[in-house]
Amino acid sequence: MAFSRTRSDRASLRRILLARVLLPLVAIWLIGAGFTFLSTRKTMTAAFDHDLVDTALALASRVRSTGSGTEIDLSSRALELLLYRKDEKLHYGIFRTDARPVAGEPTLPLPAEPPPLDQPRVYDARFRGVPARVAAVTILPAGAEEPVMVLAAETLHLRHAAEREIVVYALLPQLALLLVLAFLLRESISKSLAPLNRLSTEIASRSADDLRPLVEDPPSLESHRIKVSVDDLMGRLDTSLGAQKAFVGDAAHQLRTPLAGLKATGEYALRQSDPVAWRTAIERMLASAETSAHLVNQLLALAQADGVTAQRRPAVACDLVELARDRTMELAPAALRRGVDVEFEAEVEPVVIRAMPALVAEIVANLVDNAARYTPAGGRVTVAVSRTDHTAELRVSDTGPGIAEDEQARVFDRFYRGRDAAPGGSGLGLAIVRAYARVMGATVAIESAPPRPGTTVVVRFAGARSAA
Amino acid sequence: MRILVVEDDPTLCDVIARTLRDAGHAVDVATEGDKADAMLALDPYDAVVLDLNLPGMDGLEVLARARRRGVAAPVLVITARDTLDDRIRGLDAGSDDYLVKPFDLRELEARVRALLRRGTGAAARVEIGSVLLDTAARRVFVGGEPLALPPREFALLEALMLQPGKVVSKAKLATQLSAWGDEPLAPNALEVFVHRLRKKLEHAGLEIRTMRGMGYMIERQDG
Repeated sequence: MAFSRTRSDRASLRRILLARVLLPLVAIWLIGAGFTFLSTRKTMTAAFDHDLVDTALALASRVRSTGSGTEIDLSSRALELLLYRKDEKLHYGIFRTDARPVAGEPTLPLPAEPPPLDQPRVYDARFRGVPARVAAVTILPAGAEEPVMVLAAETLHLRHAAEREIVVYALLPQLALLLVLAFLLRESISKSLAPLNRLSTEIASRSADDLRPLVEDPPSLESHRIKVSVDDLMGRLDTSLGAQKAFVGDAAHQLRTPLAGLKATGEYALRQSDPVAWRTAIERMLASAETSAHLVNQLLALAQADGVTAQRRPAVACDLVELARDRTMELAPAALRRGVDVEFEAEVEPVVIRAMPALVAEIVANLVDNAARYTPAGGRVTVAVSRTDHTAELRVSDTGPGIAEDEQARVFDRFYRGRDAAPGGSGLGLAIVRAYARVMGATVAIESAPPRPGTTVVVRFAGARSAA
Repeated sequence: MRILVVEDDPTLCDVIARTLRDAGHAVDVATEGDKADAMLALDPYDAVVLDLNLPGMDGLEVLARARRRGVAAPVLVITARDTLDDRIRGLDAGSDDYLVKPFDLRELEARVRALLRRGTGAAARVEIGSVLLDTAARRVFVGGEPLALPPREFALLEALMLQPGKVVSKAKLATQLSAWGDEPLAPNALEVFVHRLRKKLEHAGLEIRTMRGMGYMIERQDG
């Protein structure tokens, strides 16, 4: 799977980065270029206008008032030189203040008002159908009684040519540089993101049971962190899966023993011909089957504990007294059949905790079943629920032999069955209790001090209240 | 009674069928879903024992189809799946009871009996030791002789005898008792009634056990 080409509704990081850098860059550049162009043009216009005004003033300085009228005291050659521009010719005109032409081009566009004396003015106008720029100055020629206006006009031809030059020689190179920059940015970003793509590809190509660390190690800090986190997660998964596989293996092995007993007893029974022997054999086979069934149920319960954590079922407010009593009531007859008495105690009720009722019931069931198994006939199992401040306690006590201190920690291990193990147990009861308790944030402890008889398993829940 | 047993494991199927025949019922068997579906369509049964994990049509499908067709026979589902979701799905599909494998044979028999009672609406007659309780007629017989019991004591005995070998909670018993009579129950009334019942049922072959902190349980007394 080539991630860089997958069509997706998510935007590519590369595109996002490029867009986030380039778009502002281009915008800024455009604004800058705009300002550059406008300010350059302003300066240029001023220069052109200055030149135009100079021409008008030069003409004005040569205006004479003679007996035959007003005229420019310049040879035609000199005039031609004065009005010469590359690719252009300036036009001039002299007018009376009442707009009557006196010399030069009579059709020059006049200003709205004659400018004040000796104060040249420049303005836009149209001359012979094209836009033009005109400089006008009012003077009083030597020897004249009335002022005249001297006009110098040019088309915008040269100005526009100059503007084009600005663009070509100033802005275009800058644009080229911008494009080079954009290209370099794109390459740089692509190169930086490439390790991430390679990381994705490597992860995608891993099979479900290959949880070794990733080979690809991106040089950049953030990407490297991603690799480290993924490696860490895979490491944890590996451990967890390994534990599960080991568990399933152990479970299968554990089941073999009662099944072996079952099979062997059946084979033995077939060799007998005495009904009494058959009856005994069948009873033993039934016992083995019960053991196997019990083990299977416990295994399923343990597997469920993992499932529960994975699904994160929500805890609800429930009454520990009611849950414990109901479950104890269900289990009491079976214990009685073993000759073990069952009692329930709750000084106050309800004792409300936040927990998962099904798991609490299973904890009670496992503890009572355990206690009954390890109590000889004539003994008693007591289930008690109490609350101290915000801690709720579930205590299951028996009058059996007790658990030695060095065994107390190990009894919670899966498949561990103590030195005085009762037959038929699976070794999983307490493991289940601990697993379920953990899911609900409760603690499990053992109180037992042999040779004094009796064992009490205490499960403590935090956050207990006296009412829902 | 005609019972249909649907189970694909031959050993289990055989033993269930034999047990029910020994109890006096006429039993048909099916080892595949499609066959069970066909049989349910053809014949009326008084009860069905149905495994869910079947080759061919799945057990829940068989059940759903039967219910859609209007088959009203009570169904006991037996299965290895025991999560809450599985139970709910079974009940939603139309089952009446749910038993997880492996089960006690006695449990299966008792549940089938309960289903059959439900189906026929026969009056519940419960016998423990030498005590016979007839809930429909509201009468008790000890060793064949009728025993007169005031309504509250009868209700107490009935509540206990309908759940033989199971602990019935004090709360439930108190509720049953308070349905009779106008006066509210005194705090120790339950104990008093139990004491009286015990005296009347001495030597009747059953025992009312006190389960401290929980309630009471009635069971047959051997010896």
